[in-house]
Formats: sequence, structure tokens, C-alpha cells
Amino acid sequence: MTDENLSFEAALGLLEDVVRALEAGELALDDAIERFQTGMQLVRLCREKLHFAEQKVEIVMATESGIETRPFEVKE
Amino acid sequence: MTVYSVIEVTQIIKQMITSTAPLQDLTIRGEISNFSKPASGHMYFTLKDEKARLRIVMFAGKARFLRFRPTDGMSVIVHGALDVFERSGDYQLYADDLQPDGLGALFLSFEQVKERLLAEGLFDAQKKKSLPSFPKAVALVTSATGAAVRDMIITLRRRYPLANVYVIPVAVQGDDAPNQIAQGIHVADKYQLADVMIVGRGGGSFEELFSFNTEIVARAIAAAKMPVVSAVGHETDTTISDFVADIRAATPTAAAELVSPDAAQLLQHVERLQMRSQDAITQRIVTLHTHVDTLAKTRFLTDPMRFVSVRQEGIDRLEKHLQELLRNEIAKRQKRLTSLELRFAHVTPTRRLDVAHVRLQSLHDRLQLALKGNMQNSTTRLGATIERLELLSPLSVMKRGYAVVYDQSKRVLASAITVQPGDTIRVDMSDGWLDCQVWGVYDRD
Repeated sequence: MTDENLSFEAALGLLEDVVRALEAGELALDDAIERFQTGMQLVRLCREKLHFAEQKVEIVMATESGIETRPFEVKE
Repeated sequence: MTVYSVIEVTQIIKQMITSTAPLQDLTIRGEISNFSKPASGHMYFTLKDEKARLRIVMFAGKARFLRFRPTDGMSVIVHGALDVFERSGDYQLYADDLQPDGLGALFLSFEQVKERLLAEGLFDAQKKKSLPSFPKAVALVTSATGAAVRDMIITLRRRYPLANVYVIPVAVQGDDAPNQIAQGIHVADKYQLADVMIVGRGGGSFEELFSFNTEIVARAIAAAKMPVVSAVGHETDTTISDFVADIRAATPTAAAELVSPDAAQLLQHVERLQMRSQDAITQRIVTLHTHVDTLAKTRFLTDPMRFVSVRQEGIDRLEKHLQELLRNEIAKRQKRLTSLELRFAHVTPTRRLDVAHVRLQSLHDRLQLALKGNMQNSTTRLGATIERLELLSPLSVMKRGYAVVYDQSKRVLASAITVQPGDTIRVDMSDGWLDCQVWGVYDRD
């Protein structure tokens, strides 16, 4: 099962592992099919992350106790 | 005649000097010698030319604004006011500004800082950190107003919206800018706001970009654990920040592109990975199909009984072999048993018993024979002995008149003196006996 909370980088890394393993052709068929399904979930996850990612922009203010952030608006 | 004290004279001179307007606003050209700057931060040096010398003092409050480091032999233009230092009796210039003569102060500073940091190894290639391939967040240490920050944010949004952006607002020009920029770099690094930071500003004059040539900013960049991209001004502008940073970008927009992967390309990459896994799994299944087909055509599966009979044959052969082995083994044992029996027969006592028996019989026979002979002999000898014995027998003696006397206990009496008168005795004769009583006993003497 793939974790929806994976970062894009982690998901892409896992997907690349899956492809490598499948292409090596040394997996048992059941294992290969399971990996393939995982791979398809990772593809969907990567795609969604790229399509629906919303950039978060914040401005950072140093305070006596540390830092504070608040949203920062930039119009295109 | 008036007699002054030293201090009185000194004070008169001081008064004259400080009240003379031109001496209070002097700009002097000369060469620095005997430069010293103790821990107090005040600077002391002698300004000299071919013919004269003048002592110069620049207090720390003014000295810290200098953008270059004065050194001996440097040609400078000093501005300040003349005054007297009573304790040593020296007149000296209290400087409030110092500029290099010839080269601009800023340019001189740039060269000096660059040379020093280069010598310290701050520009070393092996110190450069590599940028993350997929940053989770990007920190921008720059002015919160202006085109640079906006350009960077929009570029990042377009290319890689997965990365969050943190803006650390700092002044990028003016006296306090170097401090603020250094502090901003420090904050971004200390709080690990991102995995890469861009330090920079948009284009401007050499003076406007100068904060990025200061030592404090250079050292802050060098100290950062996070990879730093420097993006100051335009393509042609080069700052010390560029030398210290892990990567130099020509412009802020270029920096944003440098730190972010392109989402469109990533999508393509993901598509390709999808195709590759589909190809791989399809290929795998096709291969397995072919393999199954090949297997189905093998004789094992088409004529399985053949393999059974081949095995059966093997088993039969083995069985026969086994029986033969068994037989051989039994025969071998049998042979050994016979041989043992034979040997046993040789050593058995029966034969010895037989021999002994024969011997015994013969001995017995011989004994019988011997006995018989002996007996005859003895009988003969006995007859003769009896005859001789008869000659000696008391009976025959008694026949001749002798008798045997017994006492009451039927013991033969051999002496008269053992008998008492009155005792009964018996007297045996050859043809009978007499019961007698003794009348008297008499000694033969």
C-alpha cells in the first residue's frame, strides 16, 4: 500500500525502484504484479502532487522568542 | 614678566587652534604610516608626505563605518578637525572620514575583502554544497518589496509548486543592509526553514549592490549549513556573495529556476516510468505465457507414462540387483559357517573321549587280568599260610593240653598276680571251657 503522505520526492524514488525491479525481471509473478500495482498508485500520487500542488508562501519575522510566519501575497 | 605653567600655555594653543575655523574642517591628502588599531577600535596613524607628518586619531564610532581597512603606505584623503592632546602636548587631527586616494573606497574594500576571504579558503570549490533535487521549501533572503522577490516566487510557483517559499525580508541597500542580510541568512539556516536558500536582490548601481560585497554577508553565507544560491543584480554584476555561495545565479529568476525542478518535465518523467512499468509487467507475462506453452509441449506432460515406465524399469533392475546381492551375501555366510563347523569338529572333545574310552577299556581289561592273576597267586599263598598258621594256632596247642584263662571281663589272663582269691575265671580248653573259682594265688617264687 502507498502512503498518501509521501513527499513527491519519496514517491518518485519508490516509483523508480519499482520500475527498476520490474525491468530486472527477477521477481516472482505475484510479487511483480503487486509491485506493478504499487507502481500505478505511485504514478497517480506523483501526478496528483504535481497537478494539485498549491504553492505556500510565507513571510518570516524574527521575534524575541524565535520566529513567526504569516502568509505573503504575490499577484502575477 | 608673566610665568605660565605648561598647561596654561597648552590651553592657550588649544584655544587658538579650536577657534580657528579652517582648522576645524580640514581635508588632507597623505600616506598612512605607523597605523595601529587596538582593541578599543580607535585608529591611530601618522599621515605623512615628503616633508611633514601629522598625527591622526579616528575614534571607533567613526572607524567602524569605514568600508576598507587602512594600511601603512596607503594614499588617503582624511577629513577632520585639528585639536591638542594636552597630556602629550601634541596637536593632532581627529578624523571623521577617511577615503582611499585614487581608487574608490568601495572598490578598494571589494578587492580587500575578496583577497582576504580567498586566502582563508572561503571560495574553495570543495566547500560548495550541492542543491537538493526536489526542495521541500525554498528560503528567499531578500527585500520583501520589489521585483526580485516577486519574480522568484512566480518562477517557483510555475516550475515547482510543491516547494513552499519562505521570504526573510531584509534591507538590501543602506548602512544596515549588510547586518540585516547576514542576520536573515542566519535565521533561515538556524530554523531550517528550507533546504535551499536564495540570497540576493535585483539590479542596481555598484553602491546599491555593495552590501553583497561585505565581509559580514560573505561570512554568513559561508557559515550556512544550507546550500546558498547567490543572485545579485544582473548577469554582469559580480559580488563577493557570488564567490562564497554554493552556486551563483545570474539573476533572481535564474536562481529560482536553478533550485526548482520543472514540474512539466517531472510529469513527463512520471509518465515514462508508468509506461516502463507497464511494458515490464506485460513483457513478464508474455514471457511466462511462452514458457508455460513450451512446458506444456514437453514429453513429461505429453507422455507422462513414459517417464513412469522408465522409472519402473530402473526399479526392477535395482530389485534384481538387490536380490543378487542378498544371495551372494547369504552364500558367503554359509561358506564361512561350514568352514567354522569343520574347524569345530577338529577341536570337539568327542574324539578325545572316544580315545580315552578305548584306553579306559584296555586299562580295565588289564586290571581284570592282573587281578585275576593276583587272586590265584594269593589263594595259593593263602593255603600255604593257613597250613603254617594252623601249626601256630593255640587250638592245636590246647589240643596238646594247654588252656587259655580269661578273667571276669573276658580278658586273657597272662599273670597270676592280677587275680585275687575268690575271683571267677574261665578256662578255655580245646573242646570246651570251665567256670572256675580261685582258691589261692601264688607267686612263682
